[in-house]
Amino acid sequence: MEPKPQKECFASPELAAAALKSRYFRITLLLCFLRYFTILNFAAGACFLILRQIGHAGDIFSAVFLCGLATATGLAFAAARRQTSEQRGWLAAIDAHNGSGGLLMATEETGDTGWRDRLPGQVEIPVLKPAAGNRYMSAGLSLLFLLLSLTIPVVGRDTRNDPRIELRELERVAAGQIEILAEEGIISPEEARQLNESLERIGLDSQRHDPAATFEALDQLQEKLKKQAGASVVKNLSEQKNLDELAELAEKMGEAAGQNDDQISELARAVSKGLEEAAGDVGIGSGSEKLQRALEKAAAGGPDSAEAAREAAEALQEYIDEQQAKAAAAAAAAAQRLASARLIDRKTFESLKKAGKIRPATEADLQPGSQSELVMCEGGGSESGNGQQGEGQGDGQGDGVGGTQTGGQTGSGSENGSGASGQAGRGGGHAPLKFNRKSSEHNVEFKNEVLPAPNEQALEKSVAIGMSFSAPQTSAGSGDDGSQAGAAWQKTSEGSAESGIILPKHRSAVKKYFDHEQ
Amino acid sequence: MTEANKLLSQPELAKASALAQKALAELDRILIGRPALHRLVMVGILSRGHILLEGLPGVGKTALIKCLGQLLSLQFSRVQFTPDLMPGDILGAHILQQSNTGQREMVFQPGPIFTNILLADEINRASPKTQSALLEAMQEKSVTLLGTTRRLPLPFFVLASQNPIELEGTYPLPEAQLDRFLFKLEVASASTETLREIISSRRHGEPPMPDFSLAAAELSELFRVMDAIYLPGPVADYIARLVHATDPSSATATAQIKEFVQYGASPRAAIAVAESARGVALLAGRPSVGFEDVREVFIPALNHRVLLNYKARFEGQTSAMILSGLLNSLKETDLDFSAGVAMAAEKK
Repeated sequence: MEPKPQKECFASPELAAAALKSRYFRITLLLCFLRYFTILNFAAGACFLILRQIGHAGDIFSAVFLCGLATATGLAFAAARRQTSEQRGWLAAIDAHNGSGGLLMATEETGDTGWRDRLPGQVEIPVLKPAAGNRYMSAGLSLLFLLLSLTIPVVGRDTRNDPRIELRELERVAAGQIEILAEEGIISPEEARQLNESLERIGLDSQRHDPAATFEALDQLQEKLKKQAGASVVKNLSEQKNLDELAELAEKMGEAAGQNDDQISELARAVSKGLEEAAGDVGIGSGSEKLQRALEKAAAGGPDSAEAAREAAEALQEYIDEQQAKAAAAAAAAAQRLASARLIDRKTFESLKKAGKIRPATEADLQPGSQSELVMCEGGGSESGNGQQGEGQGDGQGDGVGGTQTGGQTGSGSENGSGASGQAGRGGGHAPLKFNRKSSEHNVEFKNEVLPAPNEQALEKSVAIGMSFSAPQTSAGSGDDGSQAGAAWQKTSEGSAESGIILPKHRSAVKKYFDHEQ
Repeated sequence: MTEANKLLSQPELAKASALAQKALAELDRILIGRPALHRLVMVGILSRGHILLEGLPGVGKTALIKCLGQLLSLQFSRVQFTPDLMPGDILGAHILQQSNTGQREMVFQPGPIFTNILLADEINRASPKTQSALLEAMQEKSVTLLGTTRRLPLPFFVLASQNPIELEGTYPLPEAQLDRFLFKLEVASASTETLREIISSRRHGEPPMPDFSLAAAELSELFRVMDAIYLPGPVADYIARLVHATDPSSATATAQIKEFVQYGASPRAAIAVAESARGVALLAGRPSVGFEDVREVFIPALNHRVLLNYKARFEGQTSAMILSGLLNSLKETDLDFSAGVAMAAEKK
C-alpha cells in the first residue's frame, strides 16, 4: 500500500499557488532531465563505441560526457522553466482542490477584497506526482548501454595485447636512447636528428603494415645505438688505459732517481711522449707547467736530473690521480645513464666489468624499486625489477646487468656480429600463469619468411634464449660464437619468466609442465 | 477594478440566495421526495431556461410544473399537446371581427404561448409542424405571424413534459427543438418512503397550495443577481473544454465519446452550462461560479444535446453515462496535460 502523501496547508492562496508552482517545476525538471539524460546516454554510448573501435579512445570523452551532462541539465532546467511559466492554472487547481467555489479565482481576477473573510483560512495544495511512464526504464536502459559501451572498449584497449602500443613503447624507448646519446656527446646533434627522423619514419611505416618489419627495424636501430654507446665506453676505457701507462712510467721515474742521467733522460722523454699521445688520443691535458719543467730538466740531464726526475714523478703522480678521479667520475656517470637507457650491450658490459666499473650488488640494490643500475649479481643472487608485464623475482645464475633486466623490457644482446639478438631479458623470476586473456600475439600477423638452414652442431648445444620479433641474423659471425654468446646471455637471465599470455590450446600442456617442475 | 468586474456584495447576494432557497424549500415542501430534481428546476428557472421533464405517466411531471407556476406568481398557460394540435392553437391566429362601427378587420387573437410559463404537456405527441411553432418563441422570446413579430412577456419559460414509453403516435422532438431546452430532466419513480408519505398526507393526491410565492419584482431581482454572478476564467475554460470534448472529432474526446457519440454539443450547450452554473452558485450563496457548480449541471444541460450513434443504443450506453465518464476524465485545470505531471484525484 502506498503511503498517503503528506498534506500541506498554507495561510494564503498566493503562498499555496507559489508552492504548487515550485512543486510542479521540480517534477517537470525531473521528467525533462530523464528525457535528456536518456538521449545523452544513448548518444554518448554510441559515440564511445564508434570512436573506440576506430582507435581514438581517450579520457577526453569523459570530459565530453560531463559537458553533455551539464548541457542536459541546463536544457532540462530551461524546458521545465518554460513549461512552468506557460502554466496559468495554479490558483484554479487550488480552488478546485479546496472546493472554494471559484471564490479564490474570482477574488484574484477581480481584486475584490470584499469576500476576503469568506476565503478558506487554510489552503491545501493538491498532490502532484510525476507520471513518468516508462521514462525511468528508458533512462536505466540508456545508462546500461553507456556503461557497456565504456566497459567493452576498456577490455579491448588492454595495452598488453595491443601490438601498436608495444611499438609505440619501443619507439619511445629508442627516442630516449637517442636523446641520451646526444646529451652525452656520443653522437652529434646532426646524427641525433637523422636518427630521430629514421625513428619517425619507422613509426609512420608501421601504420597498416606488418608489425614484424617494424620490430625488426627498431631492433636494428637499437643495435646501432648500442654500438655507438659501446664505442663511447671503449673510448673512456682507453683513456683509463693511457693513464695506467703513465702511472707505470711515473713509478719508474720515481725509482730511477738513483740511476744515471741517460736513463733518467730516456724515462723523461717517454713520459713526455706518453703525455702527448694521451692528449692527442683522448683529450687529456699535457700536464701542469711544473711537470713540464721537471720533465725538461730531467730530460736535459746533468747533476740535478735525479732531483728533477723525482719532482717530475711526484707531479706526474698528482696529475694522474687528478685525471683518474675525473675520468672515473665521468665514466661512471656516462655508464650509469647508458645503462639506464639500456644501451649497454654484452660486450660493453664485459669491458666495464673488466675495467672494474661495475660494483657488486648490495642488499639495497636488490630491493624492488632500487635505482641502482650498474651492479653485478653474483652466483646465487637475485635479480629484481619492476616489469612492464609484471613483477617477479627469481634465482639468477650468473651475472646480470640490472639496468637491462628490469621488468621484461625489450633487451637484446649481440656478440660481435653474431646472431644472438633476442629478448633474453624479458621479465625476471617467477610469474603466475594466466589463461584468461588473449595472447599478446593476438591479431599480429607475422611475415612469412624462409628460415636459414639450421646448424645442427650448434643446435645440439644450443639453449633457448627467448623470442625475437625479428628473424635470426645469420649472415655475419660464426654460428658457434653466436650460440655461445646467446647461451651466455641467456645465463644472465636464467630464472626469468615470461608473464605473457598462454594460448588456451596450450593451456593443459603448459600447466602440466609447470606442475611437474614444482 | 471596473464595476463590471466587481463581485456582488455579501448582503445583496445573501438576500437573493435566501429568497431562492426559500422558494426551493417551498417546492420541496409541496412536492415530496425529489429535492435534487427541484433544485435543478429552480436552477433552470433562475437561469431563465426552458425545461423538459421526461418520465413515466403519473410520476408528477405536470404537478411539478403547475406547482412551479403557482410559486412564481406569473401568468401560467397549459397546452395539452395532441397530434391534431395546430401551430395556431399555440401561437394564436388572426380572426375576422366586426367593430362597433360595422367595419370588419383581422384581429390577432394571442394563443396560450403569450404567457410567462407555458406548460407543454406531452410535447412529443404534437406533430413536428406544431412542435416547430415553439422554436422562435423559445429562442427569441417572440412570435412572428403574417410578417408581424410580437414579443412574448418576460420572463418566458416553456416547461414541457414527455412520456418516453408510448412511442406510437408520438413525434420525437427534433434536435433543434431539444437544443432549446436548458435541461432535460429525468423524473424517476418515487421511493417507498415518498409514496407512503404521499398517500398518507395527500388526499386524492392533490398537493397543497404554496404558502409563499415569488413576486415578479423579486424574480426580477433574482435575475439581476444571477447576471452579476462572476464566472472566473479557468471555470469558463473548463466549461469550454468539457463541451468541446463531447465532439467525437475533438482531440480531448474520451474513447467512449469517440465510439458512441455521433454529434457533440453545440455552443448553446456551453452557454446553458455557464448560465445554469451561475444558478447553482446563487443557491449556494457565492458570488462566483466554481468547478463543482459546473459539474452539477453539466449532465442535465448536455444529456439531450449529445446525439448518440446506433452502437451506443446497442450497447446500452446513455448520454448521462458518457458525460459522466467525461467529467471523471477531464481535470478542472490543464496542469496535468504537460510534461507528464499528474494531479492526485483526492480532494479536500
